[in-house]
Amino acid sequence: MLECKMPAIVSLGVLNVDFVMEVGKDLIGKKRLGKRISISAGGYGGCQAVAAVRCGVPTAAVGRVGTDIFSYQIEKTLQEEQVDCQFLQETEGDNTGLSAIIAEEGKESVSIDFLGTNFQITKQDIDQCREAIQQAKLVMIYMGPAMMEASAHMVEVANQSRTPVLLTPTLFTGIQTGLWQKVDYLVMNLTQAADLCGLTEESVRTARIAAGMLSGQVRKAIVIHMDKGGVLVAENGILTTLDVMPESKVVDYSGATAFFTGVFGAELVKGNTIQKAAIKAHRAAMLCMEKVGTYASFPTAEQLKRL
Amino acid sequence: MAATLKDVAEQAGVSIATVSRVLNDPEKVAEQSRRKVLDAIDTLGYSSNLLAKSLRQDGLNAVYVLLPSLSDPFFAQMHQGISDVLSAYNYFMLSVTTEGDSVLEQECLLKAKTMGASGVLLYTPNDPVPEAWSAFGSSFPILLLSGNSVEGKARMTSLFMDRTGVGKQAVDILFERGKRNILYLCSRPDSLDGECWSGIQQAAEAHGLTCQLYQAGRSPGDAARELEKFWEKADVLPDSILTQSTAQAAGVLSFLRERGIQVPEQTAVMSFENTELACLLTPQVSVIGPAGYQVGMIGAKRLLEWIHTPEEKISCWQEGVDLTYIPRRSTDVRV
Repeated sequence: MLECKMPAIVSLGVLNVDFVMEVGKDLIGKKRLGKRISISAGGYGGCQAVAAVRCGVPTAAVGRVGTDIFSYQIEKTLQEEQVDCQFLQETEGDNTGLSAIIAEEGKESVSIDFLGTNFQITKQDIDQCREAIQQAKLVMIYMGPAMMEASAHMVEVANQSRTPVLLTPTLFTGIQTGLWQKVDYLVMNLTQAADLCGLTEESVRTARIAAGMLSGQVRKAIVIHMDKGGVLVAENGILTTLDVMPESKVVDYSGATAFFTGVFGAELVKGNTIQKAAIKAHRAAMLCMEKVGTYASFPTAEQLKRL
Repeated sequence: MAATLKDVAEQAGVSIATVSRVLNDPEKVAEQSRRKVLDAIDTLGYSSNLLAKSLRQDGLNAVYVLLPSLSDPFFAQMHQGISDVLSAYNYFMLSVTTEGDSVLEQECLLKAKTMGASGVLLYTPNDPVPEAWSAFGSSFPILLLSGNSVEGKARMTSLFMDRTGVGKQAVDILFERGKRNILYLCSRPDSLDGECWSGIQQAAEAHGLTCQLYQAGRSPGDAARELEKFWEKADVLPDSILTQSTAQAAGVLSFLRERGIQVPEQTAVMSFENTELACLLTPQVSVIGPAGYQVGMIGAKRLLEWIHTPEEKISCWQEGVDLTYIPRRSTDVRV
């Protein structure tokens, strides 16, 4: 673990409890039998923070949970993972974020999100961790619909102290003009890249077009995690595809992009080059995809060291 | 034996002129005769199925792409950018290399017209483009990736790149680093790339620097050979060399290394094109200019928007070609 009183990374993103339900094909009458169910802390913000900590980088999670039993589940998991929880806030009268993930063999998982208290994050919540943002070596922001305004504010606060910003946008509608110029690293998966281009096809080609569109606007690099197709790094106008893994077995994409982002951010903070960080993050994400679920699929700290 | 125009005419029972009109101006031929000719084309295999199909469909979803070269890294990446966009929108791409020869470019435009192409993407060093090309505007839109002037030419547009400004900025950067004597290697000074030279001259004059232009092909070998000739004549090397392409920069670095000249301390090197090659050289080459992929991608996207506008607007992407200076060790020791 790096020695640092303040967190080296401040992570903003949704905090959920994930209900991962593996559905079987057996039927009893009209009822379908489930194979397994697991309940764990998740959400993009939580997952990327866990990934960064497992890489050995002190990381704080910023977010809001409810006062229900699920908030306990999130805090307990994050604390066990040694994620700094000093910036977690509670909101009464709303549910903690929940995500039902239905995983079925041979099909892409379906997620149903009940974001609850994640919608309650405000600019004031960001201001409360201003000092940590200003002293951090990186902020990782998952810019989802639940926290557009707070995310944009965190970018501003980070920019004031020149803290590098790593941003992952889920949607490209509602992004304010000039945001990209305030971002150092833009991380996406293929779905997000396709959305950016207005295309439906999720391919290396789509990733290149997305990177080409924003290249020169983002300060340092655009990194697109392309599953088996490797990882695309666009830096200084040059697009490079790294670490293609055509033989990988992918069973579930849940949590992989968040874990990718966390590892990528942590490796940058540790002083690695963008390319090295991207390759390690990609390999970690591919390990996530080999198993069903989010938290349960994450590689351990030991596995990450060997990558 | 391949079927000829005459064979098609005989098969269709029409004159050769009618066949020719169907191929070149199908809208001027009566539907009955047009149908006979197209059936004969199919029967005899006179042309590709694609062509026959395109004529039937009143236009082929294909874009003709004319680039000076595909082996040069800059144009190879441009080709990739064009290909990505066109294939993403289900367009065929017909690519031809022209070496920047205006006669060959004109021949290709004629072929594009015959094929019924939806549009043309063209990178040409020839500036201004020939007046005769205006006539193609009635057949398809033409987008010039090279940023040539197209004032007054119907259905012809250009991807704007401020080459004069880039030339000025390059000199400003070298001046800040204490360089006083600049050499610009350029393959066609009388062409579009001469715009950079204009900017270089303006900035050099403003700073009181000396600058010289020397002609060299775009390849590393040409650049190294021409630089050697320059050295033999001048007997002294300038303290900074600007190259039109990164391939030329590779040749320049090779030449300087063989002679033990320190880069950038004795001679700084900078390229006006941004390719991956610039990062692979030792030392890495500083660039100020467009990346080929982005030029191709943006050009293709704009052409498709133009073809579809206003009925079917593809998107409202807001972007431009990035011309930011990227400092590397060929100009900046501390990068």
